[in-house]
Amino acid sequence: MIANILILLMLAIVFYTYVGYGLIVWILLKVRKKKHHLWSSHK
Amino acid sequence: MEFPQVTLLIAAYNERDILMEKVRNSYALSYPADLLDIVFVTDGSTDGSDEMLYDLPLVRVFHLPKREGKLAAVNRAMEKVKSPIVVLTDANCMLNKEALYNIVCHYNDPQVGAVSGEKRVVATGDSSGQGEGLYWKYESYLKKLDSELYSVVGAAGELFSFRRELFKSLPTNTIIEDFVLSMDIAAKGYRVIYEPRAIAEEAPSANLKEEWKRKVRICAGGFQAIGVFSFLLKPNRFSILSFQFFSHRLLRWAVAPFLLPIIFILSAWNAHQGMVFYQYFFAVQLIAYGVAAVGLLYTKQAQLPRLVSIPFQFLMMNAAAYAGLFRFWKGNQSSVWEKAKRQTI
Repeated sequence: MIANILILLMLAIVFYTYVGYGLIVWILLKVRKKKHHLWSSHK
Repeated sequence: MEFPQVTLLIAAYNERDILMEKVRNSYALSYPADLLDIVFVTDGSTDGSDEMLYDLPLVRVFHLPKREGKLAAVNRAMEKVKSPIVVLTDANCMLNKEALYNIVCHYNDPQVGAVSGEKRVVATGDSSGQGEGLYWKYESYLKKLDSELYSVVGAAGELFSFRRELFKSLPTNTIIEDFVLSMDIAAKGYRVIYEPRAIAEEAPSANLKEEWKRKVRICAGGFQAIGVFSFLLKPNRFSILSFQFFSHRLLRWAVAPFLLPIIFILSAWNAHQGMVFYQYFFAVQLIAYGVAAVGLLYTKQAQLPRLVSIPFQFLMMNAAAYAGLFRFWKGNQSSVWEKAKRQTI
């Protein structure tokens, strides 16, 4: 059980390091662009 | 837009064979000649680089017989630079014609402290170049995202520019000076921008041994840099930069490579306990590492299939973290480094 949780945690870290971080930044930029677009069209 | 005075600073150690090509490339850059100062620092060179350059017009040469490393040479040259913008580049990197214009236009924004160009590894079909090129394509895309979000975390020394006023002489034992210099500027509250239209083309490492040496040096420097910039790990003070440094650098250099063998062992244990998911997962890892090992056996061949090249480069990158940590720990990574031998383009 503990080995199971540990391995999942470590897998999550490795995935975040190589793929997840880029994905999160990409999503953040999309959200920021959408917000900016909404804000400028509202103005 | 009024263009600023720019110094193109090229540190070259025994690069005579490629220097004339670099000079021609610098002359061909599309930037007003009266605003461009081309400076070569050839400290320690014994191949007559300095004598060859002294005769050329529009080129300034700084030379000292003693070799103290790239950073010492740059520190020395920077004392004589007067222009507000400095562009650092390597002798073996050829820039595209518009590189300087594309870099300089960013300095209209006073928040921009440095601009990093794109390092492009020119494909030659060799195995070391394939994976290196793919890795840099991915890394460049991440840099683009980082730059748009806030700031690049670590610029490529092949083409890197900064405001002269932000330059600080770094300790000469700094291993990866481009990274430390750009992070130092970012830590001062300035953005480091990535400009993919400013391109520095470089041939891949001559062979995998050279590529390994380069990766180990970067990893050793990475551990050194993590120590130097550990103060950035305060999200309440450095917010986005802290998040970027932690995710893109600290995890990549100091955490993930050391988790991979633990994951391998634990999944083997879970597979042994009869957990079906881990039996498949362990098999996948075995195949990936096996394919990477096959790549190692065939490194002398001209071409490695992409299927082999990717896991091989991934494994090499992570293995280099161990060698880099060991070298940093022992303190025997010289900052007076031998540049990795590169193929001819």
